[in-house]
Amino acid sequence: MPDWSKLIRSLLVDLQLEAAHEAEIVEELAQHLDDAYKDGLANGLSPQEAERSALAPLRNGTVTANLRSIMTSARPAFPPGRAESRNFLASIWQDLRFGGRLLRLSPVFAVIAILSLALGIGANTAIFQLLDAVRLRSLPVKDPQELVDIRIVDNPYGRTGDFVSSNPQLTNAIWEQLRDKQQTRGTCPDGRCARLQHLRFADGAKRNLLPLYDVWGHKRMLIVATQESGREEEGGAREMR
Amino acid sequence: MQHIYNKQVSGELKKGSAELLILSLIEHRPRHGYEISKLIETRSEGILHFNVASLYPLLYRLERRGLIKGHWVEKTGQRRRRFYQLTAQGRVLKHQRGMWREFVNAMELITGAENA
Repeated sequence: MPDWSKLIRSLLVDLQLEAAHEAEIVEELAQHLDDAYKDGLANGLSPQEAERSALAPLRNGTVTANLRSIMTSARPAFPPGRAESRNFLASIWQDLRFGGRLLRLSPVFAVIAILSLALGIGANTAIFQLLDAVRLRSLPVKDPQELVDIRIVDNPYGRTGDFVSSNPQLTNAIWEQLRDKQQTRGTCPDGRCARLQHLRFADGAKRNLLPLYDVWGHKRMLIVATQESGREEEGGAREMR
Repeated sequence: MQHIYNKQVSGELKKGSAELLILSLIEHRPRHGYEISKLIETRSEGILHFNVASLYPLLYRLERRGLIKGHWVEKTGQRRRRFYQLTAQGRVLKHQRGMWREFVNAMELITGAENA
């Protein structure tokens, strides 16, 4: 059986069809030529005559002309970044509309993408709420409303967040929430207050610092607290009693 | 086999009727392209002949207009084939066919009377 695909593909190359679409047309036309070739053999033609007969309609270029009249080019409908898209808001609106049309063309992909985003946001929110309820709301420290800096030392990764900087610490927004939600005034539990390791002024003002507390006996989380005691503390390690 | 496409049948007549022929042939069951072309040739007793260069562009045009829908069918031990079936929109064929038959009958009445 002759291989018709190469010839058919050469006839379609000028149409610049999308690859998948072109492959389907090649396959379908090749199937048709196969059938015509077999019919020719069945009607008593030699293989050469049957091949010539099957290919005859393709020799005059009409298939290309006929297909060109109805096929849409694979080239984009409009070039990205065209000159008239100078208005930033107009460009955003255009991009949103374009994205919406693409999503509408692929509804399954759109649904999967939207569900993935929803699940990711929901899971992130749930984890934070759990952390907020279990770890942040009831810090057992003295004068938690005076906390200015909560940081994790020696472990920049963990369920409390991805603190990958060289000096990982909670953001101010989280700190504000922590301060606002703090209902109780805990104390350093069971004498577990640990060593003072870091000193940090949140607003740059000179304040005396309370030592770092080892919350719940976990040495990785250290809390710096301030009080207006009028006595300045120098940074450095010292034991709390 | 008598191939007289573009010889005895005018291009305009064929252009106007070709779409209706295809819609008629797939009205009751899906057919693939080669089957459609053979049916047209057989039922017209060789007067009409659609080859690969004329049939498939027509099928693709009908599909783009939403009158027919093509889908690949795979059978064990065979190459898959693309079968075309009529869409709901293509059901307007019945109305068009009724008008076409009236036109053909009128033509026969006129030409028959002139030749009688």
